[in-house]
Amino acid sequence: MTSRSSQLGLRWCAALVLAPTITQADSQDLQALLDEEVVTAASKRAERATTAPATSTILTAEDMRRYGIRSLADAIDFLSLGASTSDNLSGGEVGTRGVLITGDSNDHILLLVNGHAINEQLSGGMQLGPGAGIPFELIDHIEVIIGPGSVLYGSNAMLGVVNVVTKAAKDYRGAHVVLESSVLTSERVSAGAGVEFNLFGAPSEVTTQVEYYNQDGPAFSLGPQNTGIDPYTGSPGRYSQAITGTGIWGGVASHSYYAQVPSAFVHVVSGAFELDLSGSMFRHATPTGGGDFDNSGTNTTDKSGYVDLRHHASLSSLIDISSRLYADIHDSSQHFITSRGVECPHGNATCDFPNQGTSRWAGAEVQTLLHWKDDGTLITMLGVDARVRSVDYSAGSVNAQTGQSYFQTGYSGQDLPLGAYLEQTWQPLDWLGLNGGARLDRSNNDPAVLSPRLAATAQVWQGAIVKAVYSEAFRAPSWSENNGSGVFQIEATGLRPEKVRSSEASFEQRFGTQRILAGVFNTDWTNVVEIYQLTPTEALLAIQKGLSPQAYTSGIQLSQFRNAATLQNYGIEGSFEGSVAAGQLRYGLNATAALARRTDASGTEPLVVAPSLFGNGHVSYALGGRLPTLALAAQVLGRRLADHALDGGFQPMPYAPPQLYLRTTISGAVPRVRGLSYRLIANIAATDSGPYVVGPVLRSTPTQRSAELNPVDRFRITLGLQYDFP
Amino acid sequence: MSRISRHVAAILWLAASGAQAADEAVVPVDLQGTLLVKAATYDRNFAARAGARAVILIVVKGDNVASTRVAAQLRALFAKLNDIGGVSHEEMVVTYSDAASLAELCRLKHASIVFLCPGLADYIAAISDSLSGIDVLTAGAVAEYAAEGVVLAFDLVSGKPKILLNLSQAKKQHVAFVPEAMRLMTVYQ
Repeated sequence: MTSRSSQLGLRWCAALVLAPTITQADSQDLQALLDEEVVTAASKRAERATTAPATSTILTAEDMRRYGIRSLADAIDFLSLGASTSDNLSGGEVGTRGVLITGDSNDHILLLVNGHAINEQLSGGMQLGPGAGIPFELIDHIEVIIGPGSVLYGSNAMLGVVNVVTKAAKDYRGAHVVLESSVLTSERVSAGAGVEFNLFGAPSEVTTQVEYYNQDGPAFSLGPQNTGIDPYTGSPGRYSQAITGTGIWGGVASHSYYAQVPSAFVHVVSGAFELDLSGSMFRHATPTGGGDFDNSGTNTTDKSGYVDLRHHASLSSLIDISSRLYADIHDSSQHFITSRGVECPHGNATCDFPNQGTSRWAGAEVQTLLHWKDDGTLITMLGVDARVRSVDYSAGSVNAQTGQSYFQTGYSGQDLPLGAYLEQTWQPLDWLGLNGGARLDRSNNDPAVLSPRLAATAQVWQGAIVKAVYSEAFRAPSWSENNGSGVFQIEATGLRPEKVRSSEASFEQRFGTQRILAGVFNTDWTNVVEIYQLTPTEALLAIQKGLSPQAYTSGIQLSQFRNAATLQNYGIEGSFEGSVAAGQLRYGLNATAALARRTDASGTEPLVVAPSLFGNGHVSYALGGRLPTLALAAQVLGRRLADHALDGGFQPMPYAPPQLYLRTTISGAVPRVRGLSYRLIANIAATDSGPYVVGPVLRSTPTQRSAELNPVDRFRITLGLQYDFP
Repeated sequence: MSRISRHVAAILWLAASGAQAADEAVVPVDLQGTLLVKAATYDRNFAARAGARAVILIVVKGDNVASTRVAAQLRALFAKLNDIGGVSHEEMVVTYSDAASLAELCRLKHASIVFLCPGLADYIAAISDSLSGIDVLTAGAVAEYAAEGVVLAFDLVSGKPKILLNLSQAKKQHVAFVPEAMRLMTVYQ
């Protein structure tokens, strides 16, 4: 037998032995690998989520379509682990692991789009509802990282980081048109395209989408709230421009709950360059404010836009370098119309409290990766992010009819925040990964802050990962907190950055296509910035020092932003997800139980609005072929204290009842019309109120002792159509 | 322009003009390697092809940093595996010169798997032509390679890996995945 024929013989022998094993192999192992999630936000580079130095959830475009998701807030609520939003009818608020700081404009969580920070620089806030201004069909996936993220991202990443990744052209080829309507309340029209081409020999692509979202209603019935005699006029309070007031706020709000959001996004890639261009406007109104009832003139308009140019290159086998230049603008304009004498003490006038804030920032970030070993087990990342910020803010009160100015205030300024970070990853053993790093941030207005993170992941046996992370994060006081003042608010002095220290550990086990995760966490917050009500003595001193334009009167109430509180928070979380039947049947469950306590000079109390128990579940079944996919998603929120439960003196103490949101979705291709697909969504809420006290009565009065909580839209049907041009 | 801004601009310019662009190997290399090893076990002809020892050629573009880095990581990953599809294995990192030479090397070494690293986009069509008729599983680090004629390539969509299968090329190279595995792949005809 020749050598060649010997080899062939050996091969066929091996084939005979191995073939049955291979052909009978179950494809579940391969499906499990294909279900592995890859995140980029935890370390600013692609890595497996299981070994990333943070707890994360990936929300895919496919899942968002399947489960009837229509906004970032929806995605977080119905699909993510450890995070939930709370709808205040004004864009919503987000919290993680049982900490939600109401009224913070979402400035404790960082929103990124393709790694670009979206939080505006005047208040540090951002939107997660339709007002986020990210055309929805362009989203490839959303990474939700819970826990501190300042080690790489600097300020604001205290509760977590949400990174929206947009689609590549290869996944969005051709043109696409979307029409979606929630019956009688909203419409969304969207068009986009993805194109690949060569530009001067470099592979290039463009993906783009424009979208217009319009919402009007539903018309909620609010009140009546009886505020009785207005102490300034001695007559019943006015909630309209009518000369004679009734003292009653409420009715059917049919003009004052609306939103309009035009937005556009362009993503361009050419060779090693990437360019993002984004622009959006969010004009919206909520009917729950305590000014003139159902006045459409009380509204907010946010306009924002940015450009982000990135470049990535490998300089040598040792060094990669990434660099980016970016520039952002955010413009916010608000109007608050009120005729109440306590707010507009100018006879029978109606006041408009306009404020206008503009923030602009531009910067550059350079990041190097040093690959010390060929096998990728020892990598150092160094980065520097420098930006210039300027803000301009004005506020006041004017007569809404005549334009006469009653009061004016404002500020403007510029600063140069600078951040430098270092991250070291090391895999000393096949089963052990270590990650340590720190970021130093400073600006000419704030002291230097160091945000370290240490993480270890260990594969303890096949499919089992144990993860432990210690991390710190901070939030620099915003311009509005540092410089804001008003009729009854004095300017802050010496505000220090908020800090959070977090320890967490988790255990994850995969069984084929099934995955379970259980984790524990503990966080301690210090220097939490809040509006503080000055004591009478402090108020007198402030007026004597000329810090307030007000003359001293007995009972005057002045406020000031201060580092007024600390928070302690700990809890457990778990998730289970999986699929069977080659992915036709998919399911998942996320649950968090957390205890959060706030401590200030007056004592310790629970955190309002934040849910202690919350979670979500989802299940879907793809019938296959041209038949539809059936899906059900649910979110559960435990009983929550309303925002003014502890300081309002209401009887009974206002709680938002436990809430169950159900969302059923049928989606699929429209028969006989190639390229046309649909989704039909039904949204059901089990109870009719949320955790926000609405109307003018934010504290108990002799005529109104109980609180009215914000209404919830109980049932809504949405129908969407999408046409994909070839 | 401030001094800092001038320095940052200079670094960006240097990076843009003088540096080599990294290729688009979007799926982490360790995950690509694991997927490749797993996928190979679903190829009905793999065992017969491999015989007693599976030879894996990892092909790099010599002057491409990303290419050599992926090769090193992949080789390190394979080195940790006792077997692939039940057979022992041997890896060789090969610098690409031309398609005919690569095909000849495949025949000579009885390669079971040829992994094409980033940086080879311009040569994929030629490589596929040369390997047609040879019993070998080709895999590529870059998603676009599949459309150009590599049997398997790896992509990242919605934060999850995808396997792209060029079915017609698979037939030409005597690669036959079981239907259960093919259902999990994105198939190009």
